[in-house]
Amino acid sequence: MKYAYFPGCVALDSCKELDVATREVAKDLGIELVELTEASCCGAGNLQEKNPEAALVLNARTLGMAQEKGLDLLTVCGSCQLYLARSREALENPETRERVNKALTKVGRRYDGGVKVKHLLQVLLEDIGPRKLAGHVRRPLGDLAVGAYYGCHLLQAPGTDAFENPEDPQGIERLVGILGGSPVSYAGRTACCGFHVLTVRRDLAVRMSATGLIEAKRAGAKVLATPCPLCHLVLDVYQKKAAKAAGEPLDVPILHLSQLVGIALGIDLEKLGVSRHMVSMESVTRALEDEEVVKA
Amino acid sequence: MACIQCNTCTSSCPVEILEPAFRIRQVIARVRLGLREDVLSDPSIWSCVRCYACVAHCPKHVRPGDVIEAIRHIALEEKREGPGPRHARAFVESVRENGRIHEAGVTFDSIGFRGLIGEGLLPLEMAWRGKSPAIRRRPLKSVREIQTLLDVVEESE
Repeated sequence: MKYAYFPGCVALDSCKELDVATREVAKDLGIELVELTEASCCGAGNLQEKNPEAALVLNARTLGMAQEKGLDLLTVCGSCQLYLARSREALENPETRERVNKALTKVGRRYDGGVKVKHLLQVLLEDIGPRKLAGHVRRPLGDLAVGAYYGCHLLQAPGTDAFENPEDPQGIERLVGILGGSPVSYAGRTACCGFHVLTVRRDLAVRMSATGLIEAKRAGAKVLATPCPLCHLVLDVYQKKAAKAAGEPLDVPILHLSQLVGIALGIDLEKLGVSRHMVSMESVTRALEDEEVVKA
Repeated sequence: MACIQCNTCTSSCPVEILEPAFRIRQVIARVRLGLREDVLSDPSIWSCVRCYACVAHCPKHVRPGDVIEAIRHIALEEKREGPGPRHARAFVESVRENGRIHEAGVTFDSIGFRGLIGEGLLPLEMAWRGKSPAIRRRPLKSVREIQTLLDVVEESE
């Protein structure tokens, strides 16, 4: 199993532990990640606002790089997934492709369509599959109450790249179940974390993430699993401010899906980069250790 | 525009509950009335978080979130000012300079010194944890390609 790997910007910068965790998990599961070292930013909506055609051209360049390697694209980010999938869908139109290729020719690139954009969650559930994944679990999550935090963008990918029911997604819950945890579902799991206004209206982003965190906590989640580095960043780094805005303590550790899977695969927590997180993972490690003691 | 002002967009909007100034249905109504200046100068259009809940739910397929994208595009073309446009420009500039986003640079260019002070101890706490984004830029080797493509697209407009 082989993919053209697109970590996106944030998973290579402030959330670089997510890229590390993804590589660890891929290695363990026998997924070969062919890195697109020269791929650009997906535009994240900002470039789309400033210049939609430029965003389309840059994403066509990225899709063309995957095409050159004969591979589908693997993303680990909700926003990358959405904006690359939106471009992919627009580029299924031959006229659009011709127009975009006219620009790409200037730098010796092209894209002929047909590359799929897949998020890690989809790859784990559909390409690897529950049976193989369960077979790799060496440290079952021991009924750890894991809240699903989808965020918004993963669920809004259009056309053939959509793999979840955006109104009632079940993928993270299924994944948590396969890993031996007990999934916690709640209405706000598909809500936006506020990342995209973080530098414009931080107060708004903080209150939005607080809403989701409170709801997850009240539903019984001891830790949240998110498919997105941007959600990860807001929910983890700004959680202290969210708690202040909410007027109550939160203390909900945040894991990216790659880290959650990594833990269940028995990969050392240090290797999954959890010590970089702002919200301590201690409650999770303690719960897992207790479980191991009970089993021993 | 097929909008019937049913308010499904506003009802689906996660910002609506927290930010009384931003009512997506009203933005669409004002666009339809041709209240150009009123819409473009309204700072609340930059409160949209781009979650596309309104796009998913609109029964008339108006795609209100994409209308916001178009409004912001015009505002940026007209060189309007404010925290929203400032961030959008910083972001696009970072794509041009690096190919990818240099988070520290985009954040600083978006919020400035005053914004950084407003973060309180957070940047220090992040540094302590090793969580800070990289200070140094790491442009793609092929960043010239990105610049050429951006120029080509801009010239053809």
